[in-house]
Amino acid sequence: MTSNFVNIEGVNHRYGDIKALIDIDLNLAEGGLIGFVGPDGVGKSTLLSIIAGVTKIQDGSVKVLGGDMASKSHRDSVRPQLAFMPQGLGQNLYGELSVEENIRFFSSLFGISKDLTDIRMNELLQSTDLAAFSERRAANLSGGMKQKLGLCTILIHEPSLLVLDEPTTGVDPLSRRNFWQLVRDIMRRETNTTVLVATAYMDEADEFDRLVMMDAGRIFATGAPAEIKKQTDAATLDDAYESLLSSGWTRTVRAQRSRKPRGNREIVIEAKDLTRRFGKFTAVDQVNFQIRRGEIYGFIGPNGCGKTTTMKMLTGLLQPSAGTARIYGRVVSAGDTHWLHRLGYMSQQFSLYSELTVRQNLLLHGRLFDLPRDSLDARIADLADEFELTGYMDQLASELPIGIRQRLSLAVAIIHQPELLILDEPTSGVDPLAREKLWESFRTLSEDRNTTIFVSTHYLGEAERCDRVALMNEGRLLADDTPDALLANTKTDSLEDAFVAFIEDDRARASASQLAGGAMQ
Amino acid sequence: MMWQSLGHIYTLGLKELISLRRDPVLLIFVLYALTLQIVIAGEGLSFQVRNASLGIVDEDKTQLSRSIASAFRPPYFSYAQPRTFNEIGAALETRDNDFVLVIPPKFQADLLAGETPHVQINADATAVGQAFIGTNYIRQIVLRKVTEELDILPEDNRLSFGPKIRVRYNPNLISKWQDALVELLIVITMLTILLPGAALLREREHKTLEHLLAMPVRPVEILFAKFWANSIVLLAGAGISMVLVIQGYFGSPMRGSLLLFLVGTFVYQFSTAGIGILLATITRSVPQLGLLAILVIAPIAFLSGAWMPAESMPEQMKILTAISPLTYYSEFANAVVFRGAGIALLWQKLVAMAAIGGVCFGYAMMRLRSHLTIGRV
Amino acid sequence: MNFGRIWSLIQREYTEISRDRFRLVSVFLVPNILFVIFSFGLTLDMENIAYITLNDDRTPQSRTYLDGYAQSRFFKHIGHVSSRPELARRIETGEARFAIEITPKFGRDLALGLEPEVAISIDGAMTFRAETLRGYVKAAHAANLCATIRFETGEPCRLEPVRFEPRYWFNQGLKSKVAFVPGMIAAILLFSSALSSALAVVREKELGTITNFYTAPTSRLEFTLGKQLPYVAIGMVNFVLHVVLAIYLFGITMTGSMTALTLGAILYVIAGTGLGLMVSCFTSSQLAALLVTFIITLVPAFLYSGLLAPVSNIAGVAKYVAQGFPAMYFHNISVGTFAKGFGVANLVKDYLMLAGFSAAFFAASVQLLKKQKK
Repeated sequence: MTSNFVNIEGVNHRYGDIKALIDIDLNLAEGGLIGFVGPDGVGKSTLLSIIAGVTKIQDGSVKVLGGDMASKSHRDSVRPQLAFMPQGLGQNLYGELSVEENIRFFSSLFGISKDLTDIRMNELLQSTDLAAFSERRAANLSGGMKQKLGLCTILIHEPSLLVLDEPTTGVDPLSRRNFWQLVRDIMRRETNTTVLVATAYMDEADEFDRLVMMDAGRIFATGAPAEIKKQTDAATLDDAYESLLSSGWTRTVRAQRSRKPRGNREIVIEAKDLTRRFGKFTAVDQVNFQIRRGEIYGFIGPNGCGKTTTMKMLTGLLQPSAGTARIYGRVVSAGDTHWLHRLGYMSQQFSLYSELTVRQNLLLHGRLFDLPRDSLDARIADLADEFELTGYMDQLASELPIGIRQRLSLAVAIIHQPELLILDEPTSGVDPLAREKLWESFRTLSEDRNTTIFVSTHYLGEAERCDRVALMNEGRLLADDTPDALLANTKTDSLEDAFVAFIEDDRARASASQLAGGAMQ
Repeated sequence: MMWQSLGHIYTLGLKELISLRRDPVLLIFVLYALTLQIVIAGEGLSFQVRNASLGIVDEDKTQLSRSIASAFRPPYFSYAQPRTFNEIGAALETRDNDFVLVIPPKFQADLLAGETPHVQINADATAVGQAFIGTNYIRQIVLRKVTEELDILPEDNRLSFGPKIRVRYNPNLISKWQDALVELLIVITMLTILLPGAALLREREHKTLEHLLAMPVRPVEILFAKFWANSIVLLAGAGISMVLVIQGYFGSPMRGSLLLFLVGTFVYQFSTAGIGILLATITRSVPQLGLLAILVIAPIAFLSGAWMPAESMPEQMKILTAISPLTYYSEFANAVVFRGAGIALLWQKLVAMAAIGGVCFGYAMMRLRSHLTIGRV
Repeated sequence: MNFGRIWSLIQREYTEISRDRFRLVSVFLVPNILFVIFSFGLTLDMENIAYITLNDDRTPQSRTYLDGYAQSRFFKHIGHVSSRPELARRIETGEARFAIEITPKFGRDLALGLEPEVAISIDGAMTFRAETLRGYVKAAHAANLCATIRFETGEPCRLEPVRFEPRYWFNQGLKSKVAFVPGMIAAILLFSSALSSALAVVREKELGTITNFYTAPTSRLEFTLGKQLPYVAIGMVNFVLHVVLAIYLFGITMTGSMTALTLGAILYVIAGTGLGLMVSCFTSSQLAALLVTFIITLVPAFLYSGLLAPVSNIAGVAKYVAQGFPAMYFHNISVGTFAKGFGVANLVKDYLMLAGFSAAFFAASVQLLKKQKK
């Protein structure tokens, strides 16, 4: 029976011409927290949703909970034991419905009585700290809260197999910790619960009971985290992933953090009490910082903390509600387009034209930056070389693997050799290998061409590569210093711990000032 | 600066054309709308009398009354069905008959005696247009038969022939020509409002718009690029539809110059693209644009005078028709296609359309930047 | 089938719509605005048709004759022209819809007892207007000529050997609105109920919440019912609003049975929302769903429903287009109950057809809905 818990043989899956899954064989026993690891687009989501019976099986056999998932009657009969949470923050929630209404709706779908729903809902709301927000609409919750509510909605019918697709992507480190705590609690209480979870964070994967490592539609390793690390003789899973994937790839020695101090160079970007409100919501709250020429300045924080909004105000795409943004000493304003010749901007989502080829995208942007025609071809050839795009020049951007797409974005952003680069989450969803290459490029630009780079990320690991780091949460800048100084100040040895310490500290201060305010009245 | 701007508009427009080429579903939809949709609409019902079913209560039963009854035949009327006087109400109620003609007793005798007999025409007036036109037809058919059979002329021969009426441009009043042309105009309206608007919103959803605005590209350049690229494609479609569907399938004449029609269409597209882009800047998503566009397109189509004679609309409506660019465009298109008018006569219409477009574009331009901030949070 | 589950689906759909201001406006306000605008605008009662005159005769007789037109409320004199090219030009621009041309011998001929020559040119580009105009102008010519003869010569004038007595049934004054307002209820109601439900499923596909349908023990039948019923309710609210507007704003009298009309409306709204739902089930984006619904309902709702001319009279392929679409059956119900005094018994055939459409669209939606992702 146990061997039949999840049993997959010869599964293939394709979307049009793209092969999402290739010859997948997998056996999972009941119980435990099982992680599916790999960057975006390797087939994790497809595999999980096939296991959950959400996606139709194209080829191969899939047996889950003792029966064939190709059979409708089996799927119908195991529905109450299964739960599936799709990828994306709050993807399965109804934004217009309140927290409580969402939970009640899911409960009614499974025909659970009102009394039982009340009991279970109260328990869930308590354990997720959502009880205070039960009237709030799902659309107005923060990313972390949405994911916790998502978990509540799928737990209300007490399933025995939970399938979670990247539940923590883009959630702040503290909420992430809470989320896993919650999952662990449930597994302790309901001992026969099995959790299948996909993640792109290698550090999370360290905590799982068992890992399924995937790349390009194939499973290339399975086992407990410790086994995998041992097998590859790697210190971290990140390293293990890289070495398993690319035997023979010679790794460049990582640049050390010891760089020349850049403290007394000219100030390129200056934000002063920069604030942006959307209605009642303050997205960016009195943010101050300075970035000097040639610096790599990292902006770290979860999705929705205000990184993007700040960057948009710096490029003139958004008007600040209060405060000023200066670039090269001039106040940024919307109508002023002249200085944009000196700026390279890469926005969070892939923002090139996916229906154009690589070459067409480069040409389009070169022309829009008014590069002389005769030198444009040469420039494009240089960039293609530098970013290893030569083999992809006539492919549509939509067909590129995500890592190459981001390289193209960066190539486009620097086609006019700007002095300043503003990059919004350039490495999001990119596999570790490609991320490595991107960071090398940033480093080269900064050192060889003295380009100022303002870059944001939600991978805390990347923060260590910046000259200076700003930690941002809920619209506020919590700290702004060199990575070493941040570690020293918080007496921690990882930036993740440092960040969590800053968030806790910030919350403590906020509630203290509330208390003080209350006392004074 | 000027040349740079034109360069940007050109480059961005080319990009737009490539994007369109890569969207086969959209192109098929455009093709469908410009061909089959126009055929369906042209073949649909409009105000005309076709195959109207006629009943006859013949209380005279003479050579004359029988000859009148046999004069009704397709395509305008069905062959006459004999009815009794008591059946009239039921026949009209159930739509078995649209008209019931009552020929009184002694009809022929009265006429020969120089009396004026009364003929009753019963019509189902819930079909207003048909009742009105059909009654006139019946009247003419009866008079013609009376004249032919009995050689009776009005006493005063000064009234024998009536005026010399010449219907210009479409002597047989073939309504399909106009119905098809009107549908073409409406399809052009719909597509030119939706395509540039949706293209702009798509750029916003895919974040490519803010990418452009973070480059030395001005909003005006982006909007004009969208306009010219989408217009060129639809202009080609409109030309093909004009030649293949309107002239080819329906056999409509083209009295003026096709080139002038296309020039006017281009100017018209400037005004509708302006409306579309303006709508895009006040909505947050493509479905919202779709709903809003329907609210705008339906009355534009309806009130432009293209379906309904604009003269007879209530005063309040005339204000709306005056600001609808389709009012001018449909006048323009009718004048060029059916009446062969030249540009010398029609430049005012072009100016009116361009002015409406200018206002919309101007306002959209002002909104474009602030537009980026809505939809967040 | 689990009714509790259907009920909670309905409740959720309802709550979502009621909290989304944009959808609320588009679902209730838009159809009623369109109903009012269209009902006001759709009229065949032609008045003030612009015409020009070219008078080469300039006798008192010809002036009397022309005065007859000027005094009619149907026509509006916008000026004299002095040459034929000018006359042609002003028709070409669309300024004037027709022109009356009087030859130099008008007065003389009339005095000599000959028929004077009058040439009337009508712009035929808009066929219905031209058709109507031809009727108006002919009648006006005879009447004006007679009046001129009586006035100038003092002789009697008999117009026609036969006196025609038109009797306009169900609409004695031959008023446009009596037929068009009830007809418009049919056209708008189909259009709006199909559009409102067109987003129902495809929206969940775009937002991702359709996954909950894949994972929950909801059957396709339950899901479809839960989706459709809220829009049926919305459609019925719109129906009531349309009827209230028709009666109180446009002053249309209800001569038949309100029950018969309402029964028809329920079936019609089920068919309309079913059509939208069906589109929603096979399209993959909200824009596509809107466009497809817009295209497949607008033209048939207006041109094939019987709004402009009775469907029963058309032949060929067009007839099948009309019959394969619910609009003409409810058009018959609406016009029948409002103007012809119909009750339920008169309309059984139409009810059956509408019920058939409702069932077919519903079944197609259930079939097109997939319980798994591809």
